Amino acid sequence: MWKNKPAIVSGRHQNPWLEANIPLAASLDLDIARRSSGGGTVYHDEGNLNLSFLKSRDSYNRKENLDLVVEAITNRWDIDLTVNDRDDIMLNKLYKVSGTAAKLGRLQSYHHFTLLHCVNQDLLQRCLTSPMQGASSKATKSFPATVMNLSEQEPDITFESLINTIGRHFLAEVGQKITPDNFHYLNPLCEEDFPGVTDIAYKLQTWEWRFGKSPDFSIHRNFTGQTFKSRPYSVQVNVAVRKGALTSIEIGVDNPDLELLDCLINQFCKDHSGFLLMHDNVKDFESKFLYCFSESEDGQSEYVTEAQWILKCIVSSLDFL
Amino acid sequence: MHRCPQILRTVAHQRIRFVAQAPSLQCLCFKVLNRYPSTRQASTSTPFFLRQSAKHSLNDTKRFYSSGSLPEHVKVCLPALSPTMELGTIISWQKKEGDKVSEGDLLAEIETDKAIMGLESSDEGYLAKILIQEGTKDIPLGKLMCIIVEEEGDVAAFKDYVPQPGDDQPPPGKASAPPPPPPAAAAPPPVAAATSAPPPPRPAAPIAPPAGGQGARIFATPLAKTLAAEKGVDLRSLGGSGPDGQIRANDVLTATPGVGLAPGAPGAAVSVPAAASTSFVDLPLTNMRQVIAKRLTLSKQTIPHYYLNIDINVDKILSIRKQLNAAQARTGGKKISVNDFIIKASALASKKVPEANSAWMGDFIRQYNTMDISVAVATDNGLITPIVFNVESKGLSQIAEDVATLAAKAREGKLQPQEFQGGTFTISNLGMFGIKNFSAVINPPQACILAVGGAEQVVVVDPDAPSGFRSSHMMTVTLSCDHRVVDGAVGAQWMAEFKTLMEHPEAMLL
Repeated sequence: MWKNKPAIVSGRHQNPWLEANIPLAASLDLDIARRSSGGGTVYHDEGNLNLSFLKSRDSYNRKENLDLVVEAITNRWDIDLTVNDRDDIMLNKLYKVSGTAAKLGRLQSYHHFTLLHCVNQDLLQRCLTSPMQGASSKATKSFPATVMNLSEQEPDITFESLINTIGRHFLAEVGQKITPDNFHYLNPLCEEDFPGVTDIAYKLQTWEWRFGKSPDFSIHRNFTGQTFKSRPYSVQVNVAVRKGALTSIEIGVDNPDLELLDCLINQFCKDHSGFLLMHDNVKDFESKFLYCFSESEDGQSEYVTEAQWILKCIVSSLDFL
Repeated sequence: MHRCPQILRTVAHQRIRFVAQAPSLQCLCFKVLNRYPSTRQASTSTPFFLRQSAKHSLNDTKRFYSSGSLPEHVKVCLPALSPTMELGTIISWQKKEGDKVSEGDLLAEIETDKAIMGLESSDEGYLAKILIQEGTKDIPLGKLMCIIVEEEGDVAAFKDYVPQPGDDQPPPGKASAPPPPPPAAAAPPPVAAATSAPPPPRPAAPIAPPAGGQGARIFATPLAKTLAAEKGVDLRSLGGSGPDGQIRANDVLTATPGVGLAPGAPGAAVSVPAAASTSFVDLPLTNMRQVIAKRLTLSKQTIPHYYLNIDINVDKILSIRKQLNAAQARTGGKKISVNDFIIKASALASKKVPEANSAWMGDFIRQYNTMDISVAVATDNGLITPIVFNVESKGLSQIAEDVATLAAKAREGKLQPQEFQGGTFTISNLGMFGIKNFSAVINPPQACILAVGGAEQVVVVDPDAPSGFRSSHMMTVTLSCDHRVVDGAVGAQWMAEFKTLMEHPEAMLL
């Protein structure tokens, strides 16, 4: 059982840009993580209890684990907790207080789930609302739900009281005595106790794992409101992302006078795409673009304005970073 | 060297490279041995097939999935990685096309129901072709995912392989062939089977044979048979992934628990060994039974039924019937029954209240101008409703004749589709079985059905009689109506008209 400082955690096969508000998280210095198990994106802070049931592959049984925890809590406090068929724990059958995920290996398995007892709900909502528009992807989608804190129902429920209650109930269920030997605190990052964990922790913190493992996706945006030579036109931006890298940017301008500019910009994009989808790389792309499409001769100023507008459109399509 | 007869034979017949590979085959032998300790005996003289040995089978002429010019290969389909799994998403392929694959190697990571699981290879060889790209969501169980070949050289042969419809292996229980399309509209109201002396039964429709082979021999590998006995899985209900539908050990291992215990598809009548407390026999569904089931369920589930009851004094009808039948006997015409009167009266009542002679068509209501009355006839095989057309313009004797002809045809199974498909109103009479009254199920798309009970002699109040009562023949009829077409008051009007016509038959002349 554990808790961590504020973080947004996405499932193995998800797209964090699509599931969470990454710019907000960055501005608030929240960690963005990806787990190895499946399921949807969640928000953690120290008001959330994480429970991981590490068992052999044969003993894998999600309902058993969830029922154990529900029983432990309801034995001590008088609240209405039930497990629904999505393996969520529901408070008063209306509010989600827990989400589940699992990973099965050849001989071992783990099933872990959250338990919201005192989490910052406002921040949770804001973090899990993505500003991304126009995206299509095959990533696993999260299933949004209304949440509630257990402590709102029962103020006595805290991290300490929860781990105490659940721990004791678990030991009783498996027929073990409640002694310090059976109930101990550990440091999961201790290499001595858990050889190999340093490498795993390192890998889990790389950009490649957290963002690069997102399934391929594409963005289609349409921007209007600009005129050229008193003729309004729209700009279409199509972006393709593979393995976290922008493999192609294509624009389409439906004004025949700007056909040459259209060609030039598309050529530029072809030459300068292929970078990883990070803020710095986008800034880099921007500055290169501005340098390329700056005024160098007379009579080009009008095109420069349009080029800058088109650049704004491209950058706007990527404002979810 | 390990004395497994299979391997020795294999080594003897195959080319040199298999001799070189013999040690690894030997290891495989023991690996399989260790995995299923309870089923294997220590004795090495026990002949058994390795999981892969289907490829090195005794019959070298029997090629494994040989489809014309393609070399021997194994098709890997999405298995059920957990008992409740229905769909999966491929997160990533852990092997590329051309990579070597050993037994137990991780082929791909699959997500299903918020759990991530590894798909391990049960075959050795080289990954020839990946047919479903990583990232693909909602792949159904049994879909062809990749192809593994024995030899590295065979990989190129699959470069442009296109998946065929037959490649997928949907899980057992869903693989049974669907029953042949039933004959159209024969939906009758609920009735007990005919009890009178049965004429020759109508020919039953052909019953669909279950997939996976049924009857004499189950084609399965010995390991599969042992595992099935251990797990309590009925081999008859499994689909085989081996050549010619041979059931392999893998099929048994991935069979969902409990799937084998009941027969998968309708087949010949089978007595299931009594796990339940009573003995029973399972009857296959005839075409007629299936149609009745489907149409009646649809009717009861979608039509808002309501029921109107009325008692009818049939004294007059009975006396008129006597007179008319005397006349019929003289001319040799068919005997007229009370049912014929009911048919005629229904038609005439429907003329006065045409809403009851209508059909619900979804976006509109069709009000028919003719009265084509479907008359329920009980046959040995079930209920059917042949139609007497244009009743409003037919006399009682004509109606009697038609009904008799149709009933006879129905019992012989010689009714043409146009003779029982259609109709605007249905009448069902269970009076001859002693039923007092009942409520029938509407025959879609009709709007009403009249259920007629038997006439009984009862005591009725009669203020004119000196004793204050008299005896009368009373019959109860129940009209079931579709509330979308016929409102309560309208239905009641129909009933009132019907009652008037039945109690004052002379009004039928108008």
